[in-house]
Amino acid sequence: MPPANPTTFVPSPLMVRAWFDTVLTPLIHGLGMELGAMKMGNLTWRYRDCRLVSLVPVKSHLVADAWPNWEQLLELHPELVPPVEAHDRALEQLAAEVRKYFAAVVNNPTLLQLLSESIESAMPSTEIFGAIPPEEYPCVVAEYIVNTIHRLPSYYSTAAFWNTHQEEFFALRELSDIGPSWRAAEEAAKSFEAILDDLLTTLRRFRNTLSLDANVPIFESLAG
Amino acid sequence: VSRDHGPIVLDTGPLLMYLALDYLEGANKARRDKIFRSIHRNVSFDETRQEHFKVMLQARSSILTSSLVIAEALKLRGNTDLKAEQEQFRHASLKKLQGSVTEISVTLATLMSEDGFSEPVVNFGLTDASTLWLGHTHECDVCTGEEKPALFGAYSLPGAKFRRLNIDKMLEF
Repeated sequence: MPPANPTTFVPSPLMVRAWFDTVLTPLIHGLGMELGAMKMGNLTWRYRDCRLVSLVPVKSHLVADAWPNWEQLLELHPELVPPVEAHDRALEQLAAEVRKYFAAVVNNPTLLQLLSESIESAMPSTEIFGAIPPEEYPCVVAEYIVNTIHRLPSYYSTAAFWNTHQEEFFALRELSDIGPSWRAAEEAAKSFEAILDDLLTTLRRFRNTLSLDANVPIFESLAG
Repeated sequence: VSRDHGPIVLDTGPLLMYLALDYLEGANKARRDKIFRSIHRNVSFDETRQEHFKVMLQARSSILTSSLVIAEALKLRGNTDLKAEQEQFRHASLKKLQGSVTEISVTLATLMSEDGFSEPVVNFGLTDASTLWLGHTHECDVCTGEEKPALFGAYSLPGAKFRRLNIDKMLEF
């Protein structure tokens, strides 16, 4: 008997259940959160971590125990590999551009000057930034700019300051020494979002087809 | 963070999320997401929301809850992931609860002695009624985890002086 072709292999309901619960549902949920952040224009950059905290390689949305299931699924459905790899490549590109963009903003002399003037015209800086050390004030502001935070909720001590001055800070993106890195990051974000959207659609369709083919509900609990 | 936003009462879901945030500090994203997904019933609670929730609570003058809510939260009903490590979770949570949450005992007798509170007890149970009572007596926000439309009926309590807010609505701005 010839070896089973992995692409035509029909998994058992038990296996499909495991793929749904340990791989596909967490992945779709995690990637959905990525898309939610992207649609808000929030790249979730954190200067202290030096990374995009909500945007991670596909496999990082899964707990390590589920990795063998994920690898098995990719082996049996190699058509899923290219969109997954495209996501991770686009993310890497986005992270690199954001890093450059953040560096251009945080080290910009005009930003430092605007920050110092805005603080002087407001309340004492310790009331605005709380326990954050003064050398990190530019990082906080640059993070808001990179994450396109136009408005902070009132429970942030920086809210009154930022919500008043944010327009002046966002205008700095047009400066010649920030503009190119801003536009490059915007381009990378657009490209990542499109790839992410495609991947989510692919995974949702795949899960749906699998559910119907194997007669296994996507959420077991809802099936009663 | 400014602490001038007054006290807040936490219902079971938000209390569990508060405890889990602390417990999962430093855990990898997949594990955090998995646990928050199970606590928050598959509703997105990404890093930005986690951070907002944390800051929103830090901005409160005090975090109040009832003994009944604490008992419910520590039962970990329906949270299979935390249930699997319940001893470690409870151990960490006890420290957090003692350090930053004001526990108030709300008995059935207390609720029955207050005008209008027998109805919430009958309709929603002791635990939910205890959070409404805390909100009422402290005239503050009550943060709940799920949409409980029926709880809006509590607004008709005579002289009620609290706002009952779903956690997701509370973090929207």
